[in-house]
Amino acid sequence: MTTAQPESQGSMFDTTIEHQEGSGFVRSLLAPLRWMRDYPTLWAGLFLLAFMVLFGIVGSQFVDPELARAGTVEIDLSPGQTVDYRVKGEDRSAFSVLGTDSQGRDVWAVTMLGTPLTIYVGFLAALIGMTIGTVLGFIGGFYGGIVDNFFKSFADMLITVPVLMILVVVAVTLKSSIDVTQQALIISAFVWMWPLRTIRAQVLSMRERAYISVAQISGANTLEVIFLEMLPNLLPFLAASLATAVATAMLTTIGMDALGLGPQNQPTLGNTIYWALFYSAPFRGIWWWWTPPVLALALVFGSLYLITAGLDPLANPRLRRQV
Amino acid sequence: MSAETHANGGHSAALDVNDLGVSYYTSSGEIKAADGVSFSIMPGKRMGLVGESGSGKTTTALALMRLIKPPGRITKGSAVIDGIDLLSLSEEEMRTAKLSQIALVPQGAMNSLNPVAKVKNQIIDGLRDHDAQHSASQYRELVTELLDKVGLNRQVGDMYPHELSGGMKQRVTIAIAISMGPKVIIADEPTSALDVVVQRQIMETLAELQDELAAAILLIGHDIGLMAQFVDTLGVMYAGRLVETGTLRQLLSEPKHPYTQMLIDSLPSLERKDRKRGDLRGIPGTAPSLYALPSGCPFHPRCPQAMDICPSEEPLLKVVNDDHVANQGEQQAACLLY
Amino acid sequence: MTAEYLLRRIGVFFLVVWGAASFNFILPRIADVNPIEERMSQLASRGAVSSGNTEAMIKHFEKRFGLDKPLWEQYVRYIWNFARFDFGFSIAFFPTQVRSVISQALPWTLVLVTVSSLIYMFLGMALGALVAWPGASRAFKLLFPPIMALSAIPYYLVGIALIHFFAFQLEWFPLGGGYTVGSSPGWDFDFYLDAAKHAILPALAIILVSIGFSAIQMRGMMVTTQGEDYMLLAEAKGAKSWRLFAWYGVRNAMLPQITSFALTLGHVVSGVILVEVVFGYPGIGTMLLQSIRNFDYTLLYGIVYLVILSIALATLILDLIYPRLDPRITYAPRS
Ligand SMILES: Nc1ncnc2c1ncn2[C@@H]1O[C@H](COP(=O)(O)OP(=O)(O)O)[C@@H](O)[C@H]1O
Ligand SMILES: [Mg+2]
Repeated sequence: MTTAQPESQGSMFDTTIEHQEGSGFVRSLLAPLRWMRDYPTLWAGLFLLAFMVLFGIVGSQFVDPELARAGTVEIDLSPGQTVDYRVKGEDRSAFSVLGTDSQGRDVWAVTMLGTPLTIYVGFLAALIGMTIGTVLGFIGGFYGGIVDNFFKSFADMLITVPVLMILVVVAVTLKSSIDVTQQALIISAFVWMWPLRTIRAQVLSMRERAYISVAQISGANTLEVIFLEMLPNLLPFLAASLATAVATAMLTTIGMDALGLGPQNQPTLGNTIYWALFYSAPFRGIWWWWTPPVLALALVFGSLYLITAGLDPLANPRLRRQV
Repeated sequence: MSAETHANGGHSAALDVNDLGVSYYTSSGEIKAADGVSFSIMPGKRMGLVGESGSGKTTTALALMRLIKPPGRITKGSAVIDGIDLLSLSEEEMRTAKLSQIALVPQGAMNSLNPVAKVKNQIIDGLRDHDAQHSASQYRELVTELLDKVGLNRQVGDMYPHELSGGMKQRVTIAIAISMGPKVIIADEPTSALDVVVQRQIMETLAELQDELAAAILLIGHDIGLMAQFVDTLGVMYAGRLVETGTLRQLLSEPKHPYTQMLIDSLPSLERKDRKRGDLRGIPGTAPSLYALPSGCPFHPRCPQAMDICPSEEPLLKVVNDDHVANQGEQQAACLLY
Repeated sequence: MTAEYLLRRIGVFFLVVWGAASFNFILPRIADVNPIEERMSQLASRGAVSSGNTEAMIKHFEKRFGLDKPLWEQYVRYIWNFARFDFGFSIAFFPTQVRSVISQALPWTLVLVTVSSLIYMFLGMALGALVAWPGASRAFKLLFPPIMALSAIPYYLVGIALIHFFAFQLEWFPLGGGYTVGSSPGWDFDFYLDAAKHAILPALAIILVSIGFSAIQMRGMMVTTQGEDYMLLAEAKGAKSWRLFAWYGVRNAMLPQITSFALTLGHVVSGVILVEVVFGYPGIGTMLLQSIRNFDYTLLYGIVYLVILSIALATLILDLIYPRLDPRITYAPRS
């Protein structure tokens, strides 16, 4: 869409806000530490995300994966009861923190195992997508030309298409069951567009600015310019793009899962929601089935949101003056 | 240019500013962007206000319009028009006073018009909100008349700002400023973004209209050369203070404050028509940071005539008329030399 | 608006639509599955379709897709059919046409998307604008954090919580669906009222989450407009504060909202489809879920194609009306 955002040029207030451009490598390495002090939102987001990742990784070590399989425990038990279950011919009983679902799974076990799985899919897809997008963005921003034109137009087109629809067609047609890694790979094909746009725009605008030209004139080669001059300044944009891409990828994976197209027999959070819906849990008042995955997802999405919001003043210094 | 006396006896000033102070409260401290600014303009007269960028000219203009926004605040002073102090009016009274008593031709006319509204509606806007009870056709006539006055075709009324050139936009803002015949017009660098030919035309239009309205005008700029051709009196600002005022002739021929002297010296000869752009760039030293203003006279680190007491004592504006030009009116300078 | 721009923009539209149709054609052939045959025998074995019917269907589809013909001819035929919205028979609802299955579901989704989008845009812009406006009440600032917190969560997860509290526990609203089962969809007031009652929670799920997106962008833009020179001149004119707010602030700040809406429409629709799944709302989303579960390829491809087409069309329309809102954009050649 063609738009012109009203850009104020040289409003008298602009001159008073000094935005420090990072210069030098050491400074750019120290920068993250400075941000944490100055940007509590970002800090809170990172903290929450780290907590959720650790929660899943550490927690899943203490959970018997058998409990996350359908048919191991009694069904529809509300939280806090003792359940009997059979594993490898042995009868055991255990305290069920979050109750059991209508298919005989322990909800606590499912949530513990599902959280890292879903975060894993989100990050893997996002990292691959980011890499593609960043490389294309750099190439496009630096060299322009027909390749740039093609990818830019393609990205613009793909952005308006509902990705979930395409993935549904792919998943249904291929019909062979996929695992979480394969799912991440498929999704990564649809999260490179925003990084490409962001990085390309930044590279273009940085090329205009003086210090790049100076570096180029002084004989630095392109890779040096990219890694020593541009990349440090792009860090906030890259970080914000990554957080957004992870959120998009996670949104997509649980969307596929919730339509029953996720990795089969894996207790991902999206699959749990699929089964909860399949068994009409929300309508039957079995809140303990859907609440844990929804809450876990809300916290992960919330942390990503905080990270993006916290990076915003760094990526768009104009916003700083509102505080 | 007149040389008659208007020393405060008899008729009263159109605008009388006294001890105006404006501070911006930023995270790194208080910035006194205007401090103790006092001057007055007689009806029908034109006063120029010059100074380096950052010296507080815009701040002074906005303070008179009561348009200082947080983190800024007007800390002291008065600005009297017709016996009424603008700075102590209520919000609503001040709103009504705008356009009818005092009007602004803003700096940066390139972006001063609402990009999504037609020119005519932007002219009518202000009138509507001053409860002008006009019919649609009266408004149409008024817009045509105003556009005509500033030298614009009536078709311009139906155009959008992006369809106009810089000079045309500035003319529209002038049309808006005069739409209710204010007693005082403040023009903040009305020509800074325009090319030289257009600059002159705009200034002439502005001067003409001001004559017609018999309004007083405060003309802000950093191009003394251009300004010298239009103003009667001149004020020089430095680091938020008014350091010297007087008639144009006094300041050009007998500048008292060392800063003014350096300014005038740095100007190419005013008579030489081929190089009449006199930007205030040729002064040695850098303008002081308002965060850490030098003690005493803020100009002393750059002053060639600095004395021992300059860093410790703050000079105030005082009358420094030379006898032989006394009949031209009062000349004041804030300098410890006098 | 130049013919050149118009042509290019419409060209992009057709490119997207053609891409969507071709994708549906190519994918099964790359994957080397003949979904129709395969799934029909599978369905037949589950007793989903009577076997007498199956024979007839397979014949019909072979004829329809001309599977004996060369690939390019199949392709041309396929694209031509899609261009006319002719998707053939639904496998699961044979012999109903896919087109008529979809046309039953489409209005539900269309109304849900349109109404909730309008509401969330309005509320979001109002909230964002007021939060950024110095003269407005502090109360709006208090509303902001919870709205922002909600905006991070997918619609349908909020929908699940809404069902639990407002439909299951408080029983204020019906438990899902689009209308009370048994009442036949008609064009009378009672039916509309009933449908509206069913639509409130799904719409609320969409609105509650989306307000935040709209509000935060609006807030940023409102802050920007307040620093603009035109706002300063408007204030210097002594314009009343509602005029400053509405005609100088909001009027300018809302422009990027149109662009973002166009850009996020795909996400919104994907979200709405899942909301329908959660609520069992009788729109495209529920239909999609059914087609997935029934291996109803013809229906699935038809739905996906139509959804992509609708979004491309909406984007095209927004793009073409944008110059009406922003006079600076004329699509005219630079002079
Ligand atoms: N919104 C603001 N916040 C902080 N400081 C400001 C603001 N606006 C102006 N200033 C400061 O006030 C001083 C005077 O600015 P200004 O009046 O615009 O000068 P001039 O118009 O003479 O160039 C400058 O040093 C500037 O840094
Ligand atoms: Mg200024």
